[in-house]
Amino acid sequence: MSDVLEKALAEMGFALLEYRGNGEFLPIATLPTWFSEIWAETRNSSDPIPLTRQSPFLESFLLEAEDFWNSPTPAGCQSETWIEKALSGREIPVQARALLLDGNQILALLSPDAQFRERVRFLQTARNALLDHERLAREIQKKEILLHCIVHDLSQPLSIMHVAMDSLSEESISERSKQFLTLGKHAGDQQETMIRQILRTFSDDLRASLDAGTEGNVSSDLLECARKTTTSLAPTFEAKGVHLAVSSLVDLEAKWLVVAEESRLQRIFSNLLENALRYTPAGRRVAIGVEDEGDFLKAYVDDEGPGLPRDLRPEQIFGLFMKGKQSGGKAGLGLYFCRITVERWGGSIGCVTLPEKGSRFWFRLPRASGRTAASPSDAPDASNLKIAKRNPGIVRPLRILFADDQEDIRTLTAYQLKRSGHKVVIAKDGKQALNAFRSASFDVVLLDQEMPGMTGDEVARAIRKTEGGKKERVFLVASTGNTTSEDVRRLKQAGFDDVLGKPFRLEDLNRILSAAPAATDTSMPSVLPGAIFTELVARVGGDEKLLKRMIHTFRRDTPNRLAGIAEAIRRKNPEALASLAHALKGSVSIFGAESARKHTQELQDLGRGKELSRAAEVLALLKEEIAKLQANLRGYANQTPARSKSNHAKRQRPSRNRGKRRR
Amino acid sequence: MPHILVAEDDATTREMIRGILTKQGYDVSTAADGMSALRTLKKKNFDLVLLDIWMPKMSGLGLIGTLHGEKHIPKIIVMTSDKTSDTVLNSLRGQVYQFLAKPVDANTLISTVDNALSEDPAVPPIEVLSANKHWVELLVPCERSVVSRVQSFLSSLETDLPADVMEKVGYAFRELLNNAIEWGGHLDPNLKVRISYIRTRKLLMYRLDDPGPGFKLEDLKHAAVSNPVDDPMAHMTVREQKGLRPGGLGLMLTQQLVDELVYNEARNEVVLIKYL
Repeated sequence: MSDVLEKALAEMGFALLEYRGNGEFLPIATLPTWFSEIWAETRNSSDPIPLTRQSPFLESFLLEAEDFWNSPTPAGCQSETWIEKALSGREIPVQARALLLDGNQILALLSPDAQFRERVRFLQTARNALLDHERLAREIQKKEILLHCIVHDLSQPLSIMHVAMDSLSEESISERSKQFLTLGKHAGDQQETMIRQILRTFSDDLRASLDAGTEGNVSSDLLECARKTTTSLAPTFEAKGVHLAVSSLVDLEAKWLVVAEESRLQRIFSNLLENALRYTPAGRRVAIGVEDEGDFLKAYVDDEGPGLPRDLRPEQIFGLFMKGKQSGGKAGLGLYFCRITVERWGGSIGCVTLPEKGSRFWFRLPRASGRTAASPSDAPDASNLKIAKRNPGIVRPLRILFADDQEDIRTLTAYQLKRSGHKVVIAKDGKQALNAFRSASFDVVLLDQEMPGMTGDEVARAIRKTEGGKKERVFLVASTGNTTSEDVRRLKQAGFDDVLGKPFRLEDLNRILSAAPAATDTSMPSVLPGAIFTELVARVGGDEKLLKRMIHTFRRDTPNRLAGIAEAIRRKNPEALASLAHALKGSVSIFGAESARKHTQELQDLGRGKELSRAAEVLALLKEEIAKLQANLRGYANQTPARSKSNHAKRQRPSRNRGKRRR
Repeated sequence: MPHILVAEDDATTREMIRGILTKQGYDVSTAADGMSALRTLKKKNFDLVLLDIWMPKMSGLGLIGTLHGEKHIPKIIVMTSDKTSDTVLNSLRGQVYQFLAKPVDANTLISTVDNALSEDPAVPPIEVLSANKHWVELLVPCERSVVSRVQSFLSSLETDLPADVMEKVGYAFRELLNNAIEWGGHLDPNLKVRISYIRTRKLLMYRLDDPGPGFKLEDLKHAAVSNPVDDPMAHMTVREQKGLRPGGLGLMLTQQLVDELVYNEARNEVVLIKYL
């Protein structure tokens, strides 16, 4: 080969070598620079170069090349590009081609460096773009979740502001105060407009949380969503060495349609799975599954982590800005988002520590079967529920049961309703509402949707079940921030007659109440044990068991206290009288027995004033009041959850008991 | 886990308080009378005592007196349904942390206990300069929690005033104390606000003396109190321009709730008067 040709080939990056057998090659032309960079120590040697010993890739390529060289009908033999590492550490791309020239076995090596670098740069740019895309998508998702939470939480206090200011405007206040009030109302309206604007600007999906109207695709396959999320998160789980799988107990063939919007359902799964991943050590397993619960379908994520923190209640775990110890820089919105979204769809969410190891996070959603496509007559949309305005001046007194977990809304709304002449019993959660409903008669039951323990939906279903097919049904009103036509349809299915959108105005509430059917029994309920006890349970922080223990203690101690007071009067011991009456005053105050409290106060004053002449008379009055209180407390003890459950179970039997049931 | 002792002779109340606080994760012990409370306190160090006043064997106030001079005295919250001035004044003298009216409810109980236990131990105590039925004078650290504590005492003093009037005076006092602590004392617990409560036959008077340099009315354009008579909303525009949250009604409301509101020249002392 001429020198010029040799140099030209080397310049173009080609290395031409002849195969000498035994994995050794002899250069037949000047070698290019890149070749010396990789195999430098053999560069100046006149001996054959043992290339296959130095390059595992070439070693395997040689097998193909030998086939090619020895084949009677050779069909070409070329390798893909591979990377050799130069002694300097530089990575050099190399391609090989076997040639058979005049019976000589030639290996041509080429380094397509420029194209390779270009390709690498291209791939890197693409990869960076993908990472940016993923990061931005997560950022957007995070912001959407934050927005969703903000909107959810802003609507609540706005309701309170509206009602509070409406209430205030009915008070007699000075002209100046009225001006301030107008200012406040104006600011409230502005805030409402702003929330709506934010929603309009940022997300159609979010807007649906306040506005009635847009109807989207709201049924999704629970299992399908679980699988999609599992697939997309599989690399993340693999990277941490955690095994992720759909539980083997799941019927993969069945349809798992629920009332939910797909992208948000996937986000819920994704949040629960990421949460599970955070707490599951490498080598352990996270399982995702679904179960059939009749009207509801349940999904769960089981992990093999340390279980739930003992110092946190499940409702705290799903609270806003709640972060675990290994929060990993998260904002504490994920599980909160899961809760408000699931509750919005009429479902519930929770978590438990598993008996073996780890924890289970679950949520259940109403099944979306053919029943979702209800006929317009039985499932009107939001506009069908607008009821003609009646003369607000005529208020028919109604017996109203009102349940909301927000104390401010409870207080204000109850105040307004009472002011309008209605009789109101309040409950702070679904369970209390149901207990109250079973212990007295009502014309209207107004239920907030998102209550802990038992949602408004669940209470409504239970109430309708309790009523059986009776003609005389209580007027059920849902109060909710979610008033899309699909939400309204779902609420109607749960048994509601009307929907009060949040944030609401007094006039909205009055309008709905004016549509409630006239009470057949217009007499107001007498003192309702349910009413008192709903407040009592609230007073002790919602702990019904504690209240039951207190009642037990009170019933056990009070006869002795009364006997002690009688004895102190008989022995003319004013100090003992004052002390015993004072202690008893504490108990009766807790139970809200005002008359009894007054009598104990009087006895205490008589004792302290050492004036015992009227004491026996007051004691007799006190005994009467205590007897009433004891009877009420006994009645309540019979309605405690454990018992009422068994009573309820009895009611469900198709028996003659049904006819005796109290409404 | 903080240790709490509940000293209360009524078993139902005891049961309730123990139940609520145990559920909150506190370690709760109980005593049914003053003597057994004292014995329990001698055996173990408690962080907080919820103390009833009227108890057999030894009253709550008796117990406070006995504890005087002890090495470790827990914070004490007095719970009582009897708001007699003597009880309030003796509690103040006994360095009681706060007053809690009975019957208590879970929310108030939990927040009061949480606040008491979470308060920075470095916050100096309230100093009682005078605890006379007609003249109560206190030196309080400029710390926000102090406001509700002081009010729990002062609102419990007998005044023979109707509840709604007391509520208004209470609101006005609270507003002024908040201002004194926040603006005058810049929430520095080492600075003190001097509070005087003076009760005569004809009037009820509060005087607050804050450690700040005072302020000028013309600097208060953002507050409703400085609005011209014909433009009651003027301050809103100022607030909007300054980027302040809507509000600025505190002083204005305070003025309307009491009979007299008088500042000294520097405006770091204020007197509030309600005629009886």
